[in-house]
Amino acid sequence: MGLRFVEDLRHLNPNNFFSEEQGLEGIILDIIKREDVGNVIFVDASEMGADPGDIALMRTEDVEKSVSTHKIPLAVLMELLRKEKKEPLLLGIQPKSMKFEDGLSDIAEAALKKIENAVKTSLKQ
Amino acid sequence: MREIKVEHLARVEGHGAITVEIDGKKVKKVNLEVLEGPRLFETITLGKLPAENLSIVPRICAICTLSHKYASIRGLERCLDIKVPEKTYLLRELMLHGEAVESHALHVGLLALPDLLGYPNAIAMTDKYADAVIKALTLKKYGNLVMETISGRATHGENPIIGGFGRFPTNEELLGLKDQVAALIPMSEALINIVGPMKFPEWLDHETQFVCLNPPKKEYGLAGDSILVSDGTELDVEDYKKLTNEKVVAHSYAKRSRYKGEPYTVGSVARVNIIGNRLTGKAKSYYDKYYNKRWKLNPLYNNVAQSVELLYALERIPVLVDKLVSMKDPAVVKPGRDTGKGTGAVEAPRGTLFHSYEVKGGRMSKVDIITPTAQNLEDIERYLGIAAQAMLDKGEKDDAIRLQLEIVARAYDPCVSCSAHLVDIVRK
Repeated sequence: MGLRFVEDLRHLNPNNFFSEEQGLEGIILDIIKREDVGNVIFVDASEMGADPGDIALMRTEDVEKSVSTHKIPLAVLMELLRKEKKEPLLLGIQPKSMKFEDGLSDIAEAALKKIENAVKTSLKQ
Repeated sequence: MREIKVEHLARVEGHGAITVEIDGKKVKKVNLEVLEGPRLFETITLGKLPAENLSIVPRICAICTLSHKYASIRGLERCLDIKVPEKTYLLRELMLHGEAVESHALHVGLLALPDLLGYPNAIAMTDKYADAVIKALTLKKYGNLVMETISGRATHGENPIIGGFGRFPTNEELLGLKDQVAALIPMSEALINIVGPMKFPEWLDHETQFVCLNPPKKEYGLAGDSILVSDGTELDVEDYKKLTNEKVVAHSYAKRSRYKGEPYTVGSVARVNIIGNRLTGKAKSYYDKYYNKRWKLNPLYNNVAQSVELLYALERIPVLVDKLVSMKDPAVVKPGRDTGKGTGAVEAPRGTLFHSYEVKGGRMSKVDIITPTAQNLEDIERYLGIAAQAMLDKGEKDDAIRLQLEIVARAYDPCVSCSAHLVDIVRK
């Protein structure tokens, strides 16, 4: 979901949209060095126990501290950013299912569209 | 009878769980359960072209993707009677070292370090050790860069092919990798100096066997055509089944291995225990400084071994680059036949990885893949039992026991996804 978000919106501001496939460590390290960056928003499907399509903006302390498969925990990266004086947030979208499927569900697409429109509006201001 | 369960083993790759059955104050049974379902890779590639097999099997894992790729290449090149020139061989070694840097930095710096420092998780660790976390991220980033430069992507790169590479990196790209090493070595040393002096509990000490490959020219390395066992045995890699002796267990999707009826360990600590005296440079000096006989008894030393190997990889990369830039790019070597058998083995970050194949008429007819974590499972389970009993004897509460079990399992840096393959399917 996060990848789609970046693919759809990167053209609006290429220096400030990153996806995991670009190498998360490098992105985080570069962000830490940038003085022009305050807020860092992670966008991802998040199992929040909510209804499919629900959207929530979460701080570091709200994010699950355990690790998914052999990756650096998102909560660790957020905490690291916070210690380096950035303000990290997770924009989570509750998926219908966390299983690998072909593409996003209709509900996820709708939620993603909602977020993307909000971001587009915000960038125009 | 009661049970202590670790429902979900955190900070490891894949899905695993631990169950300890206790009767009174005695551990009766320990199960390390691999919860990943059967992956069926050994069946998926049957009937496919070797080049297709080469693209499929690295998908077993996104971490040790190049180890699977290279083990597969080595096996297939034996099947197809392909001998590659030295530049190809050296570039493959370079890519494995890149993967080792990436994997060990992640494991030691972010997954195991909270355990070793006594923190509940990496987040709590960032209070005092944010600098160590940043160093680990920087090292991991470099490892990814090496992998991406050589294989085409940070994960599942397709550039390494049977007979060579689709494209050799330019000298500029290779020298760019070399230029970054100088700044990274102190970071690697800092990591060693955090984990090296650590004291690990003696109640976990127990004798076991170790296995690794024998790299050529009596060097420390990550590929070889013979297997070294700590009892002094050396086996040809084609005789890997004499080592692994796989069997199925009821409580797990992963097969198990024993050598001469006993568990054994593969991985960094195995490599250092068996061929650590071949290390060179600063890695050798840290080996001399921190190595002791307890590395052969206590799995927690795998974390220290990984940090030493990380430094070795960083020191080896410039040596390889200097050789590579002086050589012309060779053409891809074509197969000499379309039917044959062969086993390829490499030392993945987590240990010895075997890919054994038979090709008939240019199509895959037999595939056997034995991963390091699958080989380690018996020894992990044994040490979990030792840990659980010791903690019970000390009167520790269940939460403390659970944590200790996780620390022991995590020390092996298990790749659970890799280990999950269960059944042979025979087509008739």
